Amino acid sequence: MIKVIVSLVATFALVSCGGNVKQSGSKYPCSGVDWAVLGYDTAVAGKPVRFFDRYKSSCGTRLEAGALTQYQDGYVKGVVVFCTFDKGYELGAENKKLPEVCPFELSQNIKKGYGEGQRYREDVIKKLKRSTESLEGGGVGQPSPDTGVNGF
Amino acid sequence: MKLGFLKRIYGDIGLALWLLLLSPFTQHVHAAMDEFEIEVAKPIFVLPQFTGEYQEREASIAPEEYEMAERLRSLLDSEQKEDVLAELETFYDIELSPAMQTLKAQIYFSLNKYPEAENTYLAILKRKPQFVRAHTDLAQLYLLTEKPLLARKHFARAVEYGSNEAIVHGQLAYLNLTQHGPFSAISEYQQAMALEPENRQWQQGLLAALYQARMYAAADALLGELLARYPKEAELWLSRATLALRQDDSTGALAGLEMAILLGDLSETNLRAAAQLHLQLHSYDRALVLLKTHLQNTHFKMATLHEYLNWMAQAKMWSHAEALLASAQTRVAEMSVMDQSLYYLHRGRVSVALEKDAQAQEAFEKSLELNPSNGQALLSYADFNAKHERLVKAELLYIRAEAIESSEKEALLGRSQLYIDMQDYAAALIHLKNAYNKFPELFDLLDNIHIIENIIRAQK
Repeated sequence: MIKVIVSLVATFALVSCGGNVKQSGSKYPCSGVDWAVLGYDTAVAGKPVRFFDRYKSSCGTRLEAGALTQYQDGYVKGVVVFCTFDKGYELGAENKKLPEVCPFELSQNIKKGYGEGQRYREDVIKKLKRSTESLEGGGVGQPSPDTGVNGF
Repeated sequence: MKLGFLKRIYGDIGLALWLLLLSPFTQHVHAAMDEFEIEVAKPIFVLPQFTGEYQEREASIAPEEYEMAERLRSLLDSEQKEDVLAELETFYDIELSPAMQTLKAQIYFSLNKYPEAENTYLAILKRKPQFVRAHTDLAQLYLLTEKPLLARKHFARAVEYGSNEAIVHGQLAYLNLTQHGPFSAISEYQQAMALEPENRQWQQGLLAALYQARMYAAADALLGELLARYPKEAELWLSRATLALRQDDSTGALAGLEMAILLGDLSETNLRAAAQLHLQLHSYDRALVLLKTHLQNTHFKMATLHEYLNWMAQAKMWSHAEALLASAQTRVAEMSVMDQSLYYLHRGRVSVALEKDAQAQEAFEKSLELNPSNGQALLSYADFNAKHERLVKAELLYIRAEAIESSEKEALLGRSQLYIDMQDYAAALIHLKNAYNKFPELFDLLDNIHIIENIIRAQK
């Protein structure tokens, strides 16, 4: 009876895997993935295009035909969304590292934005330092210069 | 009488008044008839509000690729294309700059890997839709792989985005000519010629476009310019001949054809056209020379000789026809039996016209020996025998010809005439009625039938 229940549960678990089919021995699914969406999401998250290498190395020849092309197509669309002035500004203002994922023709924009974001961040820091110094000079109980607004 | 006089005066006054009333109306009608007004729709101009964001139309290598570019250049210089490709294929496309990706596409192209080249160019254009070089190269690829619609699209984009290469203009012109007609091709060929005036492709293309657009004066002017530069080009003289024919200038056409023949063009079609024109213009000796040349130089066809002999028969050039037949004598053995029969039929006819009866008889008999079902030979021989009052033989030949569908009508008529000549009106009447029943379009026969009926009635 217990054996029957265990085998039923195992069967159910296998069936419920659904579309993402991992080939035996593969850590990553080799087919049934929306590769274009994967590419898009990878780019928009600022990850490098070689994120796909793990699928290639894991699946080898079992990788679904056309997966690379669809992934690259999606990645190109996503990279256009990611590699913008605004994104660069956001990353620079938050003092995050600028990922080197943008293609040559789009890298200028994001770098400009990053530079502007960094300058903005430096301005804010300078203002905070000045106000901190003036407060320190004036009294106690002022915020430490190591903490400030928005984590600066 | 007085009443009548008064009536006449009132009548005249009334008429005068009536004419006076009508005159403005009449003038208006005349004016209306002199002026016509046609209303056409006003042209509509659509001005786009925004033509789209400007994007870079060229591509350069990224700074981080300089080192790799140098390395690849030295490999390319030593023709190691596969090695260059192997290195480029280790990268994802997005990791390469569009310029480097273009290099990859070009190497695929040069190694005849057309699907890979096409996919790479398309991927480049997704990144840089206004990249002129990619459009040009992709268009060339589509031309090579026989996808002319796509080729035209990308050549048009290349020109739109600023390409001013002669080859791009020229190729676009050719594709426009084949896909959209001559008017969309003329200006492009002119652009190409402006950049490469010596390029024969553009010259010929422009000529073809002007010709197709029926701009004959312009085409003629261009031809004049080209002939001044290349007077020994037979093709140009043939183009001149074609143009002249289109404008119903037989003399001009003939001049062009003769120049082409003089320069060595001996194509069957052109020799035949020249011979035809000479016949039209009554220069029979020259026509004969050309026909002989044609028969000697080309693959001999009896159908062609038959056509020429028919022309000559129409023009009553019997001695010329005889000379032509003599020149073809050596080729008779090459012909099929049916063709040989046709050849001897013509010999017979020409001999009849030249009153060489013995030769005519021999030729007709030879013709029928080779093909007893040659309806035309039966008819011609029957006519010949009838003319020489060998009436029984003529009758037999007409009877044979009646059995052949293609010669039945003429045989019935010929036989009827024979009986009339023999004054056997009853037999003539039977055959005339028979002919009319079978061929009702011969309505003229009704008169002949009535006449013969009257003759028969009168004889009784």
